[in-house]
Amino acid sequence: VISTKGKAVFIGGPEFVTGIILWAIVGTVIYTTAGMAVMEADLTPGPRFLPLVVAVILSLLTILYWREAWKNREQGIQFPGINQLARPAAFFGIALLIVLLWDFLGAMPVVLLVSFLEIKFLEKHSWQHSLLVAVILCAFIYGIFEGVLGISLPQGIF
Amino acid sequence: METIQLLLQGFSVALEPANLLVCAIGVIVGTLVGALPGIGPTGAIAMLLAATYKLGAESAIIMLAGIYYGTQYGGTVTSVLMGVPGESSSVVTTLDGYQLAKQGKAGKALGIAAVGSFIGGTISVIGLMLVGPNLAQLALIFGPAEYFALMMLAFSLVTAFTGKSMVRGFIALCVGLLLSMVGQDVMTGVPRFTFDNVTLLDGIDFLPIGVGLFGLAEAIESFESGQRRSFVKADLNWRKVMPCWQDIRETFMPMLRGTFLGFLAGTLPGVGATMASFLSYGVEQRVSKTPEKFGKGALAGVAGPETANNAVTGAAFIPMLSLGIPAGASSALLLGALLMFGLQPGPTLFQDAPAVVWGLIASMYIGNLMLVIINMAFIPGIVKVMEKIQPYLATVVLLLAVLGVYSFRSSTTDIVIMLLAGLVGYGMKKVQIPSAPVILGLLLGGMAEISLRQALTISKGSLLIFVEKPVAAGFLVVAILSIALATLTLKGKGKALRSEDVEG
Repeated sequence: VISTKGKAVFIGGPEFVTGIILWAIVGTVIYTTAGMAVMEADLTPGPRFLPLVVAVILSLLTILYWREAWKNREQGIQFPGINQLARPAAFFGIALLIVLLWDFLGAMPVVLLVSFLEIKFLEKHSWQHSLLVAVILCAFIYGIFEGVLGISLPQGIF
Repeated sequence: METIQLLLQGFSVALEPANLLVCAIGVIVGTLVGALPGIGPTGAIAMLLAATYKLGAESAIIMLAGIYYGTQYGGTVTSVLMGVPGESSSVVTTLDGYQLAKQGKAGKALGIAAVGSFIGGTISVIGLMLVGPNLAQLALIFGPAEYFALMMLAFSLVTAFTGKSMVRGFIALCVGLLLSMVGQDVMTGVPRFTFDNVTLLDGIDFLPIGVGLFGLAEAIESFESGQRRSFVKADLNWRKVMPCWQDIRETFMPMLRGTFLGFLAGTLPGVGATMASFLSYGVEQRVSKTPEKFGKGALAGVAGPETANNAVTGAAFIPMLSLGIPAGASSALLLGALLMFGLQPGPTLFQDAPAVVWGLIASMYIGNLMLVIINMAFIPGIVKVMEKIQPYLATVVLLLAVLGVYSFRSSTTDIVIMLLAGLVGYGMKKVQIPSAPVILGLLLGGMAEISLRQALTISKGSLLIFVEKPVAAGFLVVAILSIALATLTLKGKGKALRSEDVEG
């Protein structure tokens, strides 16, 4: 948020959101350990002792984090623009395909598909070039993991 | 005498053909990783950590260590030929190395850096060999109170000096500590933070978190800029790279000073190779008779820092092997590798697994020799391989990360955790929260909690046990002092920045 004099009056959005997430973590720790003992009858620490200590420290650190962000609000962190996020998001989106197709298609077809998509659409190479590199990568991965290391990878429907 | 015997035993392990091969693979991968901007030693170790599981403890540690110290050699290549550091400890090398390359002296800069790296790396392994076992012997007397205090010292040192803000470092540490508490409480069996999920009862393994935070997050970030720089064209055959007698004479003292500074920095958790290289550069500039040459192609400005960042590598193993305390993110992952093989880093490791420890030490002598040969004779080959790999780096990182994590225990859930950790790691980079303390907290959190609770059980709940035990009290005092020092340093930096702003 920028005032009319051109000076920021509030911390950056990402820093604000980070603080909220940290508070949520603190809340979760306190809530989910509510039924556990902080100290046992013989005055030794119980299972809630350290989580509670860390949660209290984290809540204090969050306040300090916001304070620090406010002091440096002139150089406040801003949310990246869509252009800046597009390629990292596409990379991550293609990576998610691995989880979705891993057990169904099997490891090698997924490796082939994902490497082809990454090279074709993110690195912007030609169809032939992308396919060739994807096949080479697939062979390399197969050789290392199945051949050399003897790791059994999922076969999927094939 | 005993040390020599153990070292010979280590050489018998390191010289086995399979171990020589993994050592060679490790140092070559390390050189390439160090040379490629966009992926650091921590990311590379994280990715290959799981894949080395099938190799066995000795071979795996030899290979991962090879990657670690190999990166320090490789980082020079891009610093000199592209003016872009391959990783953070080579930042300072760009100042004079790139200038030398533009003056047609790239071979000279790379040759001197390789020789300096060899000297720094080898002397630091000698230091590790002499100091490590003795420190471990001393640490055998530690009880739970001393251990807890030692953990606090490691947390404070690594966190206080990581990143630009201590608050952000400690936030990351707290998150790591909370992650280490997921699963059944070891002392009472009560499940914590499992949300009725049976798979979480065993806790969260550090591997998918480490691979995600370091390997994948770096790959995601590399897609932001997407710009690639080209290499300075230079004749890099071995005759051009081999330093002449005059160059050696000119850089001998900077190399010795760099070794001393690097070794010292390496033994202190949290200081690391980057700070060592900057310290060395500062010292060389100060003692030089021609300080005006620095930044314009001074050979000492390459030799000192490159020697220092390599001297860190051997020294960083001292607290890790002897005390179970990692000096930084990369050694935290190496510590995780030892844990993965059921070995407990710390005072008893030298006795429990002499073949692993001494095999590792011996392999570091061999690896450093391999590296100096590779970095003097095969630079043109390295440059060619880098040019070929660079466009597909992120894809290779992703595939190795996924397959490495899966191969650890054939779990698709681990892939999901790794992807989530990668996303969180990318977010943490955006809000400038460092990732290294998360791994430190996750790895050491369990042990810290057990030590704390055992100590308080012994003292019947009295915190005075940490003051009454002199060693524990000493560690806690140093921990508090390190935080105070870091606070003052950061305040100083803040003032300097503000005054620069005013002057600017």
